[in-house]
Amino acid sequence: MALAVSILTPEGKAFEDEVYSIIAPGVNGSFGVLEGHAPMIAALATGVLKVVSGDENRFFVVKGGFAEVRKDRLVVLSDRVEPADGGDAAVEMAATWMTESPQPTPQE
Amino acid sequence: MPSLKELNEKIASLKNTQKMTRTMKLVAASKMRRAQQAQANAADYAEELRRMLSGVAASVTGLDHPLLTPRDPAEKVMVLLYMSDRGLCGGFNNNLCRYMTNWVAEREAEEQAVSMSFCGRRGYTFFRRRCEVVQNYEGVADRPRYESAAEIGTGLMQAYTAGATDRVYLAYNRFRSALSQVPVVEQLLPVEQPAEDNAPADPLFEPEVSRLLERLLPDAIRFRVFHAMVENAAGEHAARMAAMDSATNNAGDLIDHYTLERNQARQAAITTELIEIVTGAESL
Repeated sequence: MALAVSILTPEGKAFEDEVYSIIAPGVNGSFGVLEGHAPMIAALATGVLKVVSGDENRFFVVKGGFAEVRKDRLVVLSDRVEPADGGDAAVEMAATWMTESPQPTPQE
Repeated sequence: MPSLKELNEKIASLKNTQKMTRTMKLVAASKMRRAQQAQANAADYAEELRRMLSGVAASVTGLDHPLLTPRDPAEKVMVLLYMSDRGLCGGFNNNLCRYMTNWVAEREAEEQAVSMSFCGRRGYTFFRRRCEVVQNYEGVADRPRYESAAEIGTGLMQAYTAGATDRVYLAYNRFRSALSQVPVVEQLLPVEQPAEDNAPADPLFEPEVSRLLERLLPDAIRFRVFHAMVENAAGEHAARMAAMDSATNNAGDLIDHYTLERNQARQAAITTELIEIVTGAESL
């Protein structure tokens, strides 16, 4: 229980707490982060972000953004983050977000 | 000396004015609290984003990206000017207008063509006849929303990459405290090379670092457009609160002054009346 997570959007803080692990929707597939993870900066796709603390799971839907791990601290920056009740609701919400506005592809 | 009736009317109208300015002050104060919170949130985000950017920049050698490459000499520059939609906020807009008039004159002395876009009606009405207007974004100044800022930011990047302008600046009042807002002009595009923190560990990147930067840069630019918007909104409400506070005080001073004058006038009237009665009684 010692991974400090903050999820920030430009308009405010969506979540901040110490948790066990998180599973984030990276652009190249989901990845999990536990305490002691190597420093990392990753781009996120639109999708479900799962926060695991004890026996409680929380789900958020993020619209793109970035995650940075440094020294047992994980920061997620995203344009838009919404909490969802339950994994199924989160998946559903992510699907509607993706049809609403597809991720802009980076300029090659 | 004005008559008793005139004074009473004046006092009544001043009291109405005071009621209005006091209400505006209260409204501005509550809006300011919200805007200040938003400003603090945006500042947190800005700090994290800056760190992330410098972390990425430290690992890329020879950054090469259209949004990073300066075009010299710059012939066409564009300014996005943030101001309030409404007035009655003291020197908030005027200071920035004055500052920008000088700034534009300096650019023009260097033979750069200046064009402007606006967030906030006040800036637009001031500069629309003096400058080439690109676009006036309405209804975004009072309560900044990230979505609208992102749209504006995307538009600016498109204009820049299409070559419509060689540089893009943001001009706004930076919110230093509730009592002080400072006009600033910042260069948005091309992005100045992010300062490299002495990041100790070489982090992992996903996707690879140059692709990551390609995603991070536009996001950072959109966010800066939003950040300036938030600073501007917090400043506007703070300035309006201060202006309305002093207006309320001034109205109070005037009310005191006229009340004194009215009481003197009333007393004088009573005295004359008494004298008239007394002399009337004596002559009987």
